[in-house]
Amino acid sequence: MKKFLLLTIFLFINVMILAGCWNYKEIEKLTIVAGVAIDKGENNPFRVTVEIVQISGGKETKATSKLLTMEGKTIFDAVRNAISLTGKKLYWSHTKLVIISKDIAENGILRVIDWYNRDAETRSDVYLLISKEKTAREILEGKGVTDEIKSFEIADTLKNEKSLSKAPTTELWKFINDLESPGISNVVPTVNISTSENISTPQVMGLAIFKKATLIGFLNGRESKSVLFVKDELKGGLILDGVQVNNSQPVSLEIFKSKTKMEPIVKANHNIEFNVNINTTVSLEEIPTSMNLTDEIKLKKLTSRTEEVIKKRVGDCIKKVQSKYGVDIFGFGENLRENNPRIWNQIGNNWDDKFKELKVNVKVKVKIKGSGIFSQSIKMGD
Amino acid sequence: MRKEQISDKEAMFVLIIYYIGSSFILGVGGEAKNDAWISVILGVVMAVPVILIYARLLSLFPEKDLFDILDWAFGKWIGKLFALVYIWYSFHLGALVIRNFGEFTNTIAIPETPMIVPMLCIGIICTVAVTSGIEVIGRISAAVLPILIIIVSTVSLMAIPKMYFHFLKPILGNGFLPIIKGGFSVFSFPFAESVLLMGVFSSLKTNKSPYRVYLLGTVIAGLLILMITFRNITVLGSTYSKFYFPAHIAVSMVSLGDFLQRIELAVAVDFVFGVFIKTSICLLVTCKGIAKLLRLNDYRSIVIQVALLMVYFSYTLYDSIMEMAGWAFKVYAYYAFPFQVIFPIILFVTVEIKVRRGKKKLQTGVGTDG
Repeated sequence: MKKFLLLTIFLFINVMILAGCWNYKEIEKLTIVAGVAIDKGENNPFRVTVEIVQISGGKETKATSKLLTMEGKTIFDAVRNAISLTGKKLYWSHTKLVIISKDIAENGILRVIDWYNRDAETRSDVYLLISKEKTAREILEGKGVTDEIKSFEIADTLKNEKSLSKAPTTELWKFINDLESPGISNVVPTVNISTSENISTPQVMGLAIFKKATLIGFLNGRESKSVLFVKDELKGGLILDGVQVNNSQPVSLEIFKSKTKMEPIVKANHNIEFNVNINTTVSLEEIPTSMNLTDEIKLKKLTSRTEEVIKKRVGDCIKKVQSKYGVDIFGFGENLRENNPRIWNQIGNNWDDKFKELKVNVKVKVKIKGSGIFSQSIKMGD
Repeated sequence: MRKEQISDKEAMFVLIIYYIGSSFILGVGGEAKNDAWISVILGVVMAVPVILIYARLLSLFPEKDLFDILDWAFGKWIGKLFALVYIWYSFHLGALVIRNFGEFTNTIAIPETPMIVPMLCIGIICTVAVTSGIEVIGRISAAVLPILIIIVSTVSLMAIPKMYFHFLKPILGNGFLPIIKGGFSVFSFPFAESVLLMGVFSSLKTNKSPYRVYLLGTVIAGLLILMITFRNITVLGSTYSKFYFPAHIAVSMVSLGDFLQRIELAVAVDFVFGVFIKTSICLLVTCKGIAKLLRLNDYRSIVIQVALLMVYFSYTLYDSIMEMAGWAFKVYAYYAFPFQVIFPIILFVTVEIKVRRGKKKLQTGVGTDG
């Protein structure tokens, strides 16, 4: 009996001391952050806008979004200042993205992302975006089309980017990882506001080029696709402009599979050339004119034209980046470091200078594997 | 008093959990960066000769533990001095492990809770386990290790979509020196820490089994640690060595679809088990040593005191987590070297000489003493 009593007391004490710990948080007491936009403040270095998810109960639970802006000397300062506005601490586990404005990025974003990467409450697998508008806040001010919460919608856009391929996806940890590697420069997707039917919605398109942690330029959606081609990050999307049949509308080719192999060729005197071999499988998805699809010669023509288009576009893109920006966003240096560390150790320093003069041979191989579910092009009856 | 005995299987399980306990969460071989997995292999290879020495010592003296052997080899006074040294080492190691656990919970989960609270909780559980004896610890290990392995392998399998295998390249890109450094740190943490299990494995059944237990345990734990290191590198890349708790971060990246994510707690559970077993072993060895030193009838009478001291000691050990990381990765390997290699070798040589000189002395010595 005495033992039983002791045990009961012991258990009871345990219930008292172990049930709730210091950091106990109720869900209603949390302010869930969906996305962050970081701008230059008026009086302070930073102005942080967070999109907050508000869950209202009732018959149907609805999630609506609200914006909250605060300023601070550092990011964390601004974030903590939120308490003075909401009375609650912000909760970061569900945050999907961080949008950074142009003028902040042009001065280096290391001081912006360090807190986000370091703090234990935030997660480093958020998407990083650069706003092409004047401020990053505007993006979150737009209206979502399918989702009430813009941040979640943009995150979905990035997730489905693999069948559009007009922007890369960059997660914060990957950005930092590449920042530390000497042979690659970062690219970050850009987001702008697109207005249709008086509703302005965020649109993800194109990419921003970084030299170390500083923004130095932009590429548009089409060039982004070329970058993705070289980096072997292309998983889908279309090829159209330029591939024309009989000088009419272009043919739409959908990319099903694409594999890019990058190989360094070491010549005498440590001269480096790169071969970029692109292997793409596509399918004819839209043929505006009549064309005999079983005609092998025509198909071959189409194939070779597509190959040329891709080759030209990728080559142009590489040349543009080499001459205009001079940073290796394709990861040639990284490839060399990984596959040939001996050579890299000899010529690796000042890689960006060497990248400007780098000779890149692009080879493209296209395979057309099908034409949708329709075997012929549509023929008008005479 | 009844003689406590554990089976080979249980002993091996204790050893494996002891190895993987804190190395799972702290990560090993950070010096070698993306070649850390080579360092793990190197560390195991380096550990094998030392482990053979431990096993040889144990198999020479069945049913005797480290402190008995020290006493027998060096005589009353020097033996006691060595015993004191090992008591200190196991006490300190236990405190370090508790502190790792405290820092982990404090950094990752509950930053506002005073660190002493989770540390004290672990201390209490370990006290209970040690008071129950090695048999109970062995049986807990046998029950828990399969679960640990299942959790860890499932989580690692789920991490495959997030792996970038080119992070492993360039292999040997920084030359051999960082790998050897990393291998040395893997050797001292966790593999050669198994020197303390000499204080426990007196409970093994036969004198052949120390070899089997030590070697097989080391190989299995080595494979597990290799797997985890491999996963961490391929998921995190070159920043791998910059995290305090790389495993936790790597696992937090895992998500299967939209429904299975944020599974880092599963790993935290592993860690708690590992810390529990490792601290229990350290506590047990410390208490056994003190009991032998002071000629107590039973070590159980001092478990609570030593455990409390250990927790308080670990609380005062460092000021911050930066200090902990600095100690764990820069100083510890050198600090632990004498306990792990030099003293065992001295002991081994002394014992071998004594044994060769007269086998009879050994038998009488072993038979009557202690």
